[in-house]
Formats: sequence, structure tokens, C-alpha cells
Amino acid sequence: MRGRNSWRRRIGKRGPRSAKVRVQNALHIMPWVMERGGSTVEEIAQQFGLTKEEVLEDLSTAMVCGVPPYCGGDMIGVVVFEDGSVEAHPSQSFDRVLELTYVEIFGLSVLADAAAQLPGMKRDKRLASAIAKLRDFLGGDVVDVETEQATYLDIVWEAAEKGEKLEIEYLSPSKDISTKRTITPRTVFGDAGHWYTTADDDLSNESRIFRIDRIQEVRATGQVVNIVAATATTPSWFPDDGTLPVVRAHVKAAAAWVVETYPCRDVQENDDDSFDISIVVNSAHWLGRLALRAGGNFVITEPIEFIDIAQRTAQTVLRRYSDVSELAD
Amino acid sequence: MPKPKQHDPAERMLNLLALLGNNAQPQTLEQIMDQMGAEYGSSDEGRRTSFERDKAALREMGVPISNIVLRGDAAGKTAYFLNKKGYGTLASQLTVDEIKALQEAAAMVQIDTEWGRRAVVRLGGVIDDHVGFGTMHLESGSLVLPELWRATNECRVVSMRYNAKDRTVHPYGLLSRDGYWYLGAYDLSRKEEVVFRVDRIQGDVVIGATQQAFVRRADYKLADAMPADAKLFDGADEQAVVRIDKVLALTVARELGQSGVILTHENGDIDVRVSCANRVAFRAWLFAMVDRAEVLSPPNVRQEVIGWLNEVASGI
Repeated sequence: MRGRNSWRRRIGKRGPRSAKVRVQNALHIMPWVMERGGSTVEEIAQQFGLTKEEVLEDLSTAMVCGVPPYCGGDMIGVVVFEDGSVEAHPSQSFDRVLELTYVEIFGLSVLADAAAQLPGMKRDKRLASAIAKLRDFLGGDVVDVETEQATYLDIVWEAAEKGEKLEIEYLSPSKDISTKRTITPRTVFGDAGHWYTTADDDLSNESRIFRIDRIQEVRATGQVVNIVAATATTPSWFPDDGTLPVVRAHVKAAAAWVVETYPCRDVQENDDDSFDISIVVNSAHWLGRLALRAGGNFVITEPIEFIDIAQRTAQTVLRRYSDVSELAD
Repeated sequence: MPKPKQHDPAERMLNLLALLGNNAQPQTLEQIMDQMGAEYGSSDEGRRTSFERDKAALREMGVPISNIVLRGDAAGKTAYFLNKKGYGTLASQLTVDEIKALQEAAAMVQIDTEWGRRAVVRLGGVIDDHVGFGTMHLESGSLVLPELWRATNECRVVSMRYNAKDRTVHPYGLLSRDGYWYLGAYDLSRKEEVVFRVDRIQGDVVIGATQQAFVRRADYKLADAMPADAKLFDGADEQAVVRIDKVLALTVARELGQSGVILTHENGDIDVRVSCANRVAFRAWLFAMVDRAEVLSPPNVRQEVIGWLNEVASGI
């Protein structure tokens, strides 16, 4: 789950916080508490994604502030009681919600625009109306989020919602095969421009991830199973669990898209904008396809069994062109 | 000599804000220093520098500190005040239901930063960390993005380095498509509208100080300026006919639309007409199908493909 707390874990333990951050927090917390007629340190921490210690520090800073000569009624009326309850008395300077910063407005626009593409939200009138107001406030369409229009996205989404089994015909380009199978979609997620479902797969008896635009045909079975309380997560693509081969390659600048598109490791950028990378190989077919698309700009240096995979793949494709009398050696 | 007391800058900023909020009249720098001088140090220059820094930091947080130039006895002096009209205007426009919808959006969409979630909280929403069965991850963590957005929104000139060249542009719009962010802009040196991929911008961007420095073409839509099909990027609509094996026929037909399918064979193979003006994009599309696709015509494109394959096959 990529929630607020997990995000904090990802950025690591916080160090000392700047004066600006503490002031900003105080300015966000005080009108919120005033509007509610009081709150608790715990509630505030939960609402603003802070630790209780941070809330106490920020409110303590505010409590000693006010206007000269800084005594009695000159102070900002914030009180934290021993039981953790917090009171904030109305104040002309601190009872108003600050306007969002441009960074926050950008983030909000992206969230709203992206959410409007989700099957569960795209007909949500509340969201549409919020987006309309946001656009009006911003003065036009300056941010647009487009997502893939996968033909069967709505059907898969609905199946995940209901726990319905689907019969599908699924294409696996990395293995160059198409299979018929019955799946029970559990979660649906969008990532890197594509939609996927994590589903119970009757063919393998495992939970598998399917790219929805590779579903070639689908049939709702009407069979409904128990819905599992699943949380959609974006997986770590190309899991490097040691079972898949890894190749080392030199990527010329013209094929920089390889580095941008696929999860590479041990990436070394050279002065001529080329890269030396390691990449986990999903299948030999996948690697051959990648090498062919990149042409001579993707040169595998090890292991030896993959060094000539681009040549071998090109020779395979050349065989299709019947007027080619002689293939290159 | 005892060291002067160091004042906490956080307390100083809050005191400044309280002072401005408590006074009905705008306050000049001298009036502010009369009351808060001890907190701002002893030298005039140091006081002014610290005051300017605090004022800028508070404005950046969204505190609407405005200033006016006084007349009368204090003619020409600048005075500062809290402009109450500048508080939370977006928040006041949204209904409770709309904020709830944004809350749900924040729970379902992950953008790699806290920006959007923080905005929802600031609007009074509560973020539910429980993600349901559906979610979307949209990589938007680049610090360049909000800068470009601000420049676009406020019509500020942007200077940046792209493809090893310095560019100065009028930013027109931002679009997220296929997992990438794009900036649509008017390039002042090329004198034409150009689309840039944001993750290829090298280093920081420099945003011009002047707002409304240019006028965006009224009917500009980045989605229209950028063909969805990369194979069209180079303009001229040159087309090729490609045979696709049955196993990929449905997928390709869906991608191109039924109008792109010009013939369906008895064995399930299809012939499609596809743009090939941008050869790099065409090659990437064609070779993604490996030997499941074959260019049939026009002859020059077919020969080019054979040439590429021969080059790779011979290890050139």
C-alpha cells in the first residue's frame, strides 16, 4: 500500500524540520481546530500526516507567539491540555485556511484528472463538478491526464467489484502464445500507461497479473465467488528473484528509451550519452524483440548465449520476406 | 560580551503574521521594527534582509501579505497588510461532496508525492489510507512538473536544456500520456509549436519573473497538438500496408480501429493500413510483433525494412 505512512517510510526518518515547515503546519492546524471547536493531538496528527511529537512541537511554537508585549491576551490562543486535547481560540490572523500552494494545486489537479479516468469514478458527478471548479479556478486546461482506453477495462473492473469469473483469451507477447483461461479479477491497477488486473488464474492455479489490453476476447461466466478484501498495489516489475537471467548491455543514446522504459540496474551513463546497464530477461523472445526494436543501438555484452540474439531474431523475421533470396550471415 | 539571544525564525514569522493581522492599518517596515526590532537583530541591513526572507517564506506558504505605497505624511513608504481576500478561495468554492470526491481520488491515485494529498487535507478532507481493489499509479514526482505547471498557468517564459540545447519557450500545456509527461510549448528559437518529453529535460528549469509574458493560442489543446499515434509524428501521412498474423489480429485491429483493417483473410490474418511517416516509431511498432507482421507495400518501405533487418542480422 502506498499510503501516507508508507510514503514516509520510503523517504526515511525525518531529520530536524525547518522553521518554514513548522510555521506552515501551525497555519494549517489552527484554522482546522478552530473550525471544529477543538480537537486532540492524535486527531491532528492523523489528519495532517504528522507524528504526535511534531504536532506538539508545532503547537508549542504557536503558543509562545503573539503581538508585543507578548503577554496574556496578546498571545495566539492555542492551548494543549495534558490529556492531549487542543483548543484554539478565534484569532484574526490564524482562523483562515491558507490558499493552496501551486505545488499542491498541481498535485490536486493531477489526482482529480487521473481519478476521473478510473471506471469507478468516471461517471461521478461530484468529481466532475470539482474538476470543473478547479479548471475554472486555474483558468483553463493546463494539465491533462490521458490513460489507455483498454477495450475490456470496464468489464474486468466490474468483475473485480462483483467477484465474477471471466473466460478470456490472453496474448503473451513475451512467449508468443495465446491461451484460453478462466480468471477471477481481484484488483485492477494502472501503471506506466497500461491497465492490469491481478487475478486468480484457473490455468496455473496461481494469482497472476494480466495486462488488460492483451485480453483478446472476454466472456462473463455469471459465476460469482466470494470477494476477497484485496488492496490494489503496483507490483515491482521484473522481479529479480535470482531465477531469471540477467544480461549486460551497452545502450547507445539513440536507444535511451530502453533505459527509460524498462527497469534496469547497475546503470552507468557515459559521456557520449550512452549507457551500460544490466537488465533482467523475462524470456528469450522478449529480449530478441527488444534487441530488434533497438536495432544496432542495443549491444549485449554478456552472457554469451544472448550476445547474438538480435541477429538471430532479425534472421527469423527476414524469413517472412519471401523475396529475400539470401539472408545475411 | 554575552551572545545576543537567537530568536527562533518560526516564532518570528508567526509573530509577524499576528502583528499584521492585529492591525487594521497597513504597517511600514519602521512600524514593524518598532514592535519586533529585538527579534530582527540590531543592524538595519540585517533586519531588512530577515524581514524580506520571512515575508517571502510566508507568501510562499500562501499567506496573502500585500503591500501599498502610502500617501500623506508617510508618502512613498511601503506598508504591509494581510489581504483577507487572498485566503482559501478554492476551498470556499468547493462543496462538502466535491471535497469527498477529491478525497476518494486521493485514495485511489498514487502520484509519488504528497502534493495532492496535502491539498485534499488542506481543503478539509480526510485521507483514507485504505486502497480498494482499484488504483492508478501516475509517476509525477519530478520537481520540474509543478514549476512547468505554474509557468504554464501564469504564462511565464521557461528556459531549459533539452537534447543538449538551451531552449526558451512559451509553455502552453502539460499532458500525461502512456506513463510520460509532455510539455506543449512555443519554441522561440525554432519559431514553432513543439512537444517536449518532461523526463528528458536536463537539469532545472528557469521560470521567468514576469507573469502574462505571452498569450497562449486560445484554441490550443495539447492532446490535439500531439498525435496519439507516434508513427504520425513527422507530419507527412505516409502509409504502409502490413500483414498481421491471426494471433495478433484482434489486438492490432483494436489499436488501429476497424477502419485500419483493409482485408481479413480466411485463415484469420489481416492486412492493415498504418502510418509510417515517423520511421523510428514505425520500426518500434512493427518489430514489436517480430515475425508476426510483414510489410507488404509500398515497395520502398518494404525494402527499407528488409535493409534494416539485414543490417541487424549481419551484426552491423
